[in-house]
Amino acid sequence: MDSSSQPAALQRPPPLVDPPPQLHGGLVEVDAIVVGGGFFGCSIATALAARSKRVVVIEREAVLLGRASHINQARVHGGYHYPRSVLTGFRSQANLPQFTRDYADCVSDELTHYYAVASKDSKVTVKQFEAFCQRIGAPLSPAPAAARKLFDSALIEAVYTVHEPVFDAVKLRARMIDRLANANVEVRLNTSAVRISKRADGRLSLTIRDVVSGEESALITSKLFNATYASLNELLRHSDVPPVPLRLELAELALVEPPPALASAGVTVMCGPYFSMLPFPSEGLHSLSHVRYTPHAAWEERDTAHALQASRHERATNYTSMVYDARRYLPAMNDCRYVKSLWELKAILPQSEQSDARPILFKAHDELPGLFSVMGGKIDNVYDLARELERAGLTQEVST
Amino acid sequence: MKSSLFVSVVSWLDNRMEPVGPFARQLAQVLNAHYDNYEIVLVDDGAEASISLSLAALVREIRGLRVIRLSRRFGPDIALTAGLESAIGDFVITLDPRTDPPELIPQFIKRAQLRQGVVCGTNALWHRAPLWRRAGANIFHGLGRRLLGLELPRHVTHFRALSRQAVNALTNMRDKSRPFLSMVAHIGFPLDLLEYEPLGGERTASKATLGDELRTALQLTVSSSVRPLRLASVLGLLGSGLNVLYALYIILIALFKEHVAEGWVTLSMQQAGMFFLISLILAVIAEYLGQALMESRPRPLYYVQDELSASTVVPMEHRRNVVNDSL
Repeated sequence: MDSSSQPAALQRPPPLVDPPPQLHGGLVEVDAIVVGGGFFGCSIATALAARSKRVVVIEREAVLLGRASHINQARVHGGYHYPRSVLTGFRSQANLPQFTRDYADCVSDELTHYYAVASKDSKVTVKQFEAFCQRIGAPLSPAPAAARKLFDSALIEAVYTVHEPVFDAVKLRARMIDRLANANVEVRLNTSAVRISKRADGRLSLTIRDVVSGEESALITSKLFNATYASLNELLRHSDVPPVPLRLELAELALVEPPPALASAGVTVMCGPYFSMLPFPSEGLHSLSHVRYTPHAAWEERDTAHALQASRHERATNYTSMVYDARRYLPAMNDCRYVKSLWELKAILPQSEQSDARPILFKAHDELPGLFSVMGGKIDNVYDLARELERAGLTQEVST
Repeated sequence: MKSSLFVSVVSWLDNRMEPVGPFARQLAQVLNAHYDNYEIVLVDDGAEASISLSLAALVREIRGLRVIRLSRRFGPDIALTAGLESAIGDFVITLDPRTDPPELIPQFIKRAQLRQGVVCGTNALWHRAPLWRRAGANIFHGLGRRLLGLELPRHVTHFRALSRQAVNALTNMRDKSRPFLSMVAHIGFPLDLLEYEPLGGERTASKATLGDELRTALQLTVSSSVRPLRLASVLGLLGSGLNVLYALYIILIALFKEHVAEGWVTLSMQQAGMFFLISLILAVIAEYLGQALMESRPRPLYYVQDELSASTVVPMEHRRNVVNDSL
């Protein structure tokens, strides 16, 4: 593997072309590692595998796409959700067709999706919303009278029908597993990434630990992508890399049986009051989230204890409050029935707090050249990331 | 055994008050003891920056508390309206942090449950108010009842309980000038009165100045009754009638009297009388015109600057470095 300075007799024989993984303290060389087996991590891995021979995905849980990739509103964004950021809206609208094409069997388009603009306290007016949708090319039409009648006319100014489908998280996972297999990406589940260190030859060494057995080993690579979302800073901290400023929120996604009138519909009310009830295809229920009641606690990522704090934080559902507010705007919510709640840590870029902008974070760490942290808040924005990888020349290297 | 009712409590905070921490904690205590679900909505009605900052800490400390910050001071009635429009509970309590004891909230709620209407607290210590205030109120209500048919409950405070139906009806009224009592009277909800002793003993419920009270009296009058306008019309008619008679009188004098004076006495008397009437009518019409003008302007009643709740509160001074956006 190295050390041509040793006498010929002591040199080890050249390695096999694709050495099998060695779990007992042996070192394994790979071309690229992606830590985090969510949608973004796996997408990065497949993009890299097109050019690199050996790509490994390290995932802590027992399944891929099990955390934030699963616990979200399952919305395939059409841009409507971010009326005050033309860039985010435009990119969403541009990415939507490609996502629905690539993941056609995962996207559920049978739903009728209504967007309702509130008349009081809305950060965007009806005119602004219409102008915005026109500008980003998002299809928008006034909702039929029957749908309009479902909403309280004093509190809701206008109701529109939009084109914004939802995806099935379980099908997405299956599809991604196929893609990874087709790309020959190696996936290590139940494996946590412990720390990264720099080697003398400039490459990175990632220490990994088997979650079940506790055994540690190391992987060597020249490119490492940290796509661990809310746990982004955990790996960085253990690797003595300054943390990326992040805001973490403990978010509750309530799963409900929708009112009969809205059984095949999705509703998003905006933009001061902000809640949505959308089909959650993987469980045959609807998800309900509310801008005020979904976040249960928030932390500025600054020290080490946040994941622990999050796991210890009281998880008492805010469903009652969600529905009490929602039914003021949509009286049909009286017939909603609570089933359960999913909880997850949500990561937000501080620069996005005050605006509607939702950029993807793509950060190169100077302390460990070859290490990149990637974080995105919207699944369908992954194509912007792929373009960025190309632009950075990361998907063009060929393995030796 | 806690009630399963969802209770919202709305109150406001302005520069004239002391820090609202103890009050908010007491509210939380009372609500937590009696109700499974509750929320406290504090409306920051143009309070100073230092007070507003302390609210951020309070929101993190007290579960169920949120703050609506108005863009400037709008006054208690509008501040409470902002809170009412945001409240989500089955019943909404409004109260004044300086004078209204939170322990009485369950009592108010129970009373409101009886008829699903509105319960207004009345000041049991009214008799301790300064003389000018009591006299003024008595005169106003006396005159109001006799001349204008105003039947408003006396000594009413800001401590109220409203059922969800009442809140919805009130917030749907698009009136810009909103004396609470005349709106409630107009809608016709069951209105119950609950007497209690405001906190502060000697200092009775209201800190309103004479100017405030006169303004309120005027607002109540104009929004509750159109009799003054009718009175003005009557006077106008009367004036005109008298003038006609007077004109007849002048003609008769001119025809039948010799040595008629130069005429300047009658002329000036007539002019004085006419101008008196005209200005009286103009004053009344101007008042109504003013209100009509306000009603016809499509301005919102208040503007919310932002809203704080526990998980969204992040101290502004901790703005992080902007992370490189690769896009």
